[in-house]
Amino acid sequence: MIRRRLRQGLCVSLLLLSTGCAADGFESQEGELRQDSLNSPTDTGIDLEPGLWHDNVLVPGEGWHLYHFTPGESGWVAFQMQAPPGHENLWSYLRIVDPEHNNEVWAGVGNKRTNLCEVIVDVDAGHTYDVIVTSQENSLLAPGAAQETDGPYTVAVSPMPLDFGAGSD
Amino acid sequence: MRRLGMGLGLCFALTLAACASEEPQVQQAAATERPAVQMNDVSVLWPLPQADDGDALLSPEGLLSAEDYEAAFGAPGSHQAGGTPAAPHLEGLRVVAMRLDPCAGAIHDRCQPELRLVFQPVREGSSGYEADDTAVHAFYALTADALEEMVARLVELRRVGGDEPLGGLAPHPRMVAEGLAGDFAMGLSELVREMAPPGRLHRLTLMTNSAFGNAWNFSGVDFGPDGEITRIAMPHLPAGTEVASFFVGFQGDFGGEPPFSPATSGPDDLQLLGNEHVAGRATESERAEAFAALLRIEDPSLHDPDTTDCASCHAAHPLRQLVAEAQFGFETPALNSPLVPIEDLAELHGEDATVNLHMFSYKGRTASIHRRTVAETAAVIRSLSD
Repeated sequence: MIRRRLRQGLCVSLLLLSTGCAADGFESQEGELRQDSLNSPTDTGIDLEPGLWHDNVLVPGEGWHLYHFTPGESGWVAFQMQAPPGHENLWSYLRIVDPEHNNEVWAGVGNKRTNLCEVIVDVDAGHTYDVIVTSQENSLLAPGAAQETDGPYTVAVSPMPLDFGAGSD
Repeated sequence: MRRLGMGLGLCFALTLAACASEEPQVQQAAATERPAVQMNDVSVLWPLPQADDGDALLSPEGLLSAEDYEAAFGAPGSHQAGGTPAAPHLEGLRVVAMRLDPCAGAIHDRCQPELRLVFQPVREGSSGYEADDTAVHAFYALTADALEEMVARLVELRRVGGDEPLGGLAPHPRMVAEGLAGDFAMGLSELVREMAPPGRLHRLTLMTNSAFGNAWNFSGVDFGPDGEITRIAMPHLPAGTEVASFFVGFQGDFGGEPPFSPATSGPDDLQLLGNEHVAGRATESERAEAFAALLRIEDPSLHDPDTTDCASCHAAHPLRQLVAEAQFGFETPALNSPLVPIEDLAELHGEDATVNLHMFSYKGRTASIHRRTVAETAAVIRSLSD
């Protein structure tokens, strides 16, 4: 379950309650750009594993990229996304969704010189989280507007050796 | 900066120093005492092709079957665990290095004669041929007789046209001089194809690169006698680990958090040196302990792939040079061997300031030869002389 946000500085992070995060039901049609809303990310089918970086490319019309993460152990992890600094339309942005509990947390890049975004979450072992990757300006698209972001990024989830002691919840 | 090793290494250095004043006699003595097998006979690094060589390196044809390659790493384009990069396309690979070990597993009282081929994607870039920052290692089981024959034929091949000392490990001097279309390269290619048929393949390992060139991912499989495949269980990593990774940070500045994934629980733990900021906050004794562990990991008489994980082993050399020595002033004792001139055991410094995890292959156009590879090769020379 996503319970809180922590890290300051590298990125802006908010805790929101979503109104629905289903990741299915949208088929792209040949010759058309996809709608780019939270409800239609492109599922990469990749299960992230702690500490392993996955490189990918956002392509106009493909929608946001969806990954999955099922931790083997409970505890704090950092979801991280980095894109080359200076890219004109790719500012790293992450949305971590807990479909089962209808909950999500998102963050956009805080420092464009690093273009690194990080969301720190206390995760539960065996629970599956959706990790949605896109560019910050796409979070502000008008309804029905197609994203134009094109460029490479890398994403990972890394264990965080944090211990705040009893009562940290 | 460097201290000489104790014992035999020191004796060797003194002998060489004395040689300088009696050059003619000593050169003759050295020639008669020099073992027949040289470092570059048993660890061969092909030079990258020159423009007029074309695609002259050995292709995987007849060495690696598509069936074995796909069984190990999935269909072409298949991501590895955690979405780490797919193995490079088989057809783009070329042999860049070869190594012989008469007794792999010796520290565990096993002895499997072995031929290792190092494959990399090699392509023509704007400044000449270069290798991608990825590698596939193929291990072939030999019989003791086959290995002995291969060594003899390598020495014979090298001696055609001269028997001069070739010095320390480097792109093979004969191939550098003659080119990849020369007699030595052609003879070597023929010998490798004869000795490394797919049926002798017993292990395949993979190093890929991600996070915009700042993380390296290691995995591998073993082939059983009936072709069954087992993922390599890397020692001291959590059960079920398929890929181990080293992350240097996005500035390439040893700022990865965490640098090693998953973390090792082995008795020799160099991980503190993987992040120079964390190492800087540690105590001197903690850094010294990590440095001592690093040196032990680089020592083939103490560690092999059954006792240390791939990421620690491959990261040891750059961590020692660029963090332990450069940032914290540690000094590395010189290698020594009774059968190899000490100057042939020296490691390269300063050629490549980037983080280079290739132990005996190329990053771009830069040849990378790690200290551990030099030590392993010296140990092979000694083993062959027994």
